[in-house]
Amino acid sequence: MTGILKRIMHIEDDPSIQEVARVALEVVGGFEVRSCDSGTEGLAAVADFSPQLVLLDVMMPGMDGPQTLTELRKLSCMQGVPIVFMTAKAQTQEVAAYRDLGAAGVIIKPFDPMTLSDQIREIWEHKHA
Amino acid sequence: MNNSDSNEQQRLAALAALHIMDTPSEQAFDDLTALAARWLDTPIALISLIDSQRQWFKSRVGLNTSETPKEMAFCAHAIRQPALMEVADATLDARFAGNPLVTGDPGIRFYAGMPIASPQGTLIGTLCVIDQRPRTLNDQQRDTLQRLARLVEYQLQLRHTLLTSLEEAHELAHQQALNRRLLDSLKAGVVACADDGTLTLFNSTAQQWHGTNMLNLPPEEWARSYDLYAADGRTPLTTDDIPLVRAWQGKPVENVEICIACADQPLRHVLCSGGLLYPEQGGPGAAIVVMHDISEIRHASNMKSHFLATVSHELRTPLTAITGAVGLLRSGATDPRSAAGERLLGIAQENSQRLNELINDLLDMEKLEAGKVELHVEPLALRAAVVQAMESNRPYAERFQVHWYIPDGLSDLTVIADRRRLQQVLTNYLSNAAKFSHAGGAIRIAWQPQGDSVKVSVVDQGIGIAAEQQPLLFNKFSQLDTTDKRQRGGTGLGLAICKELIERMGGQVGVQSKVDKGSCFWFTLPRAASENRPEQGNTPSP
Repeated sequence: MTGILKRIMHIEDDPSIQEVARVALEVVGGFEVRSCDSGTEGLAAVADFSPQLVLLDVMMPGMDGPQTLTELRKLSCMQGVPIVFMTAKAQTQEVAAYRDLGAAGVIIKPFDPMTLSDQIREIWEHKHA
Repeated sequence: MNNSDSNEQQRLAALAALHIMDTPSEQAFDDLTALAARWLDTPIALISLIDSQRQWFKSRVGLNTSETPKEMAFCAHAIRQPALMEVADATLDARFAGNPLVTGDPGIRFYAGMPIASPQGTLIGTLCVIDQRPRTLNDQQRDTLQRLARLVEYQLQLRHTLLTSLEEAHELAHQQALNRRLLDSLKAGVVACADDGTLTLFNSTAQQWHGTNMLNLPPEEWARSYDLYAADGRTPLTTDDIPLVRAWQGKPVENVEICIACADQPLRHVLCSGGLLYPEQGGPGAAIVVMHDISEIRHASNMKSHFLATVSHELRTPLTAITGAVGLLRSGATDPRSAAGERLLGIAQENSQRLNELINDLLDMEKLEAGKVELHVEPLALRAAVVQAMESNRPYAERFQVHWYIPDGLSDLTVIADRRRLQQVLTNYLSNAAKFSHAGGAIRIAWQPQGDSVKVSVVDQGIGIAAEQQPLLFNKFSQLDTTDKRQRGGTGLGLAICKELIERMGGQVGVQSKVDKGSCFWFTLPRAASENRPEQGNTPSP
């Protein structure tokens, strides 16, 4: 996956955060965003949407973020697609654990909606450096 | 007390210290008197001991009596000086001519007595030979008597040493048994090793914690055999980090936390302190470590940390929505007057309220757990309370497009409860039922008497709850509160608070549910004592 980042899938169970992030990414970042309520919904939608980057909440009921990441990695269409965790639970050892799982980056909640897109672009560019 | 009196006291004390008076005969002493009689050719040979009142014979040959009064004793004269005392013919000796032992039985004529000394050197008696005819001893015979007397002294000393050793051994055994009992009574675990690193002690507590007594293994195998881990409970302990090994090596061991794993027991966190038994000798050397079980403290601390982490996360979630929404509006990225802007304002407002509810619930929970909530219980008509809850939560019903009802023909019952808190519980149950239901669904609220209680049930035909999640429902921050997107807005504490409140009012809570079939959330409350109306409650079922 090279080129400019355009399509982002956001998996987040909280509807308020989902809405705010969508506006931040679409209006401020100019991305095309597909929002999913759960890991299950996200897994079903990736083939169709072909995201270039997945923004993934960690604490979700049912399949949580780490489990969703593991399942996403099994899909051929997800090979090489950076997955970024977004979470309010981010102590040092937890961030290290997320990276060990294969996350390309971790965005801490609460996030600044005005710089969220920049943070994501930075992760994207670092991945493709 | 004059000199001779104090000497006599000393003499008597030395005799008493031997614990020999009135003891049974002993072969070693009998052999010596037998030899004396044989070698000196006398019919009578005695080992005589003189106390304050009498002479008593530890060993005797040729005499039937075991003692005589002291005033009759030839030996009492003999022990006044350390040399052999010889009386060739008692009838010609003014000291003894009138002695009953001379004038009467056994008719003593000849006496030769060699004083014997206690281990301290005081003269306590004699080895003596007696004949019924006048005679004297030759030099060789005198020498023999003296040597035999020395053997009697050696035997006395040996006997005394043996008795003392036995006493000391007994005392030592008693002390050791006492020490062992003390060690085993300790709630702390105590382990020790010898100079060479061999384990020498596991007290009862240590044995219990390790699930075994000490094994004959070198220190390199302790971590594996006794299943020891670092404080994190996961990292296996290296040999050098085992507290007893460190103590053995002469290194300081103070409040070192490790974990002990043992089958059939939860992982045990222990705090260890110890050191060398003989620090002046330096290490490696015999060492001891005492372990205190801090599992409960660690568990409580972990639970507190976990709770704080969870609460922080729960607080940050609505905060994220608020800061995000306000940030977008303030930056001008979204026009507040647009539909999107309206939605963002709504998000900010809704989540502010959610944050407020969360904080209130947290405080409520804390007060309940600390027993600080005052409940004012009174008889309350159930129907009126339910109707009030249905009315005040109408917006919920409208939002989730459900309708709730009380079945026809249900008789009113009176419960004993706190009015406000009963509303709180009903509100929580109704709002949950609404969230769990499908749009257009019906929610039934009913009640029935159950002995001294009344059971109130809120039944929906919604998505239901998996069996394995049901036991967790009434816990704090149960994930189940957030299963469905529409349930967002709950604090995760609602059911836990309901449980606390109902139990404090003397009732119980519970749930019956099947996935896709709906749920029945119920609670019981004490029934008012005087109930004159006939009961015709329906039996609610999910």
